Amino acid sequence: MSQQVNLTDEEIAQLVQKGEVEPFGILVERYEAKIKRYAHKFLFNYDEADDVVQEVLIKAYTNIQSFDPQKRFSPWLYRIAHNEFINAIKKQGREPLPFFDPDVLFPHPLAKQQTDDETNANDLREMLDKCLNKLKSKYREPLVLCYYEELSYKEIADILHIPQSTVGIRLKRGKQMIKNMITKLESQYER
Amino acid sequence: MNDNFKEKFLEKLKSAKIKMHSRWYFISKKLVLVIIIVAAALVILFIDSFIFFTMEKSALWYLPGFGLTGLLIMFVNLPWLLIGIVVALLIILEYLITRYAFAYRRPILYSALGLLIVITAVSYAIKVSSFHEQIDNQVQAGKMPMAKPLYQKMGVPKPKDVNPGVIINIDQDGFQIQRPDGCPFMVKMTEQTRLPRNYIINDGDYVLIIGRTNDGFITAEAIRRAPVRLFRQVITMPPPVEYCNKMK
Repeated sequence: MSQQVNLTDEEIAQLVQKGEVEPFGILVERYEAKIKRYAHKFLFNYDEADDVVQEVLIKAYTNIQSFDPQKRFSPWLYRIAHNEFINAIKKQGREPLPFFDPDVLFPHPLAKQQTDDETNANDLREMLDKCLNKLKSKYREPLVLCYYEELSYKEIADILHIPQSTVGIRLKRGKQMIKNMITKLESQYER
Repeated sequence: MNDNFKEKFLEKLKSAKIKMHSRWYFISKKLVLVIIIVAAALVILFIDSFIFFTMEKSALWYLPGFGLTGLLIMFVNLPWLLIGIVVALLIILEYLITRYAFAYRRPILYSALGLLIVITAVSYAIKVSSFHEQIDNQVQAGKMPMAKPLYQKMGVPKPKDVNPGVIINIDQDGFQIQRPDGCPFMVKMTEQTRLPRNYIINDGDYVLIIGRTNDGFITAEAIRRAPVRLFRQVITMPPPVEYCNKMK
């Protein structure tokens, strides 16, 4: 077990695929906190967020044979989490989820990956903490995956099954919405 | 690190209440998806190429050559039910292929356009081949009764006021044609009848006429030369007189 701790996620997943249950515990250790954070940021106010996280890990175990060890493990796990979270939102029916989003239809040539420096990213995370729950889920989720989980546009695109350019445009709009909300809040506070 | 969570979780996994799906479960799921996609694509190709075939058979294909009038007649007589089925199946197919990374990583517009271009090109190639013609011949020979409703009823537009025919006799007021069903028809030409520039009507010409049929006469509004393949079923011996009278 101590040697297995040094293995990559993909190598551990391969061991689990061969029938070993214990190594899955290492994956649980590595991802429990991350998936919980993702759940709490994305599924704000959802009482059963912790249950959903458990459900995500169970789904990961039962579906581990569908994982391709040639690819990265984390986007695969986040994809399962995304599906479970969307199901949880649907079940609760608290916020509308559009059946079709025109954002995925057309190309967005200006939406390329942007690199925020650490200070900017920290500022943005602070702003997100204040206003994230006021955003629609389609903007909230890429912001969580980008600024809290620190995933690339390509990884986010693979998790959400949307074009990379759509990830870029949603992040851009989401950040703008957050900035507008903060400005509005500050002007109200000054009054 | 929450060791308690991990231990409880592993205990749950070991309790055999939670079972891992086998590799074959996922392989068969992927296979089923591929089979559904291929089946949907084949059905679309069949119907789409049939639409092309039937448009040519009923002369709709050549109507844009008559200008706005022709386009209007074509639009009204298009097999909309079949077109609707193709559109619905294309939407389903597009939805299914967006499960694959090559499709969802790019805007839907790209995969949808790609799909449309491939389907149209292959359908046209099928139409150019004698695939539907052979089935149609079988249906007309009384074979393949299952294909009869599609090939002889619901799938075949019968545009009113569109008459293909071969000129068999020319007189002062017009000419006589033999239609693909073998019936002879008189065609009256007036000053308003539109003809292609420099076209002189000759015996044996294959023509397409737009005009109303009254008392056994077609009053020609416009005439265009028609491709010979439109007359693949010309019956050399005229059919019974009663049949032709009924058609008038």
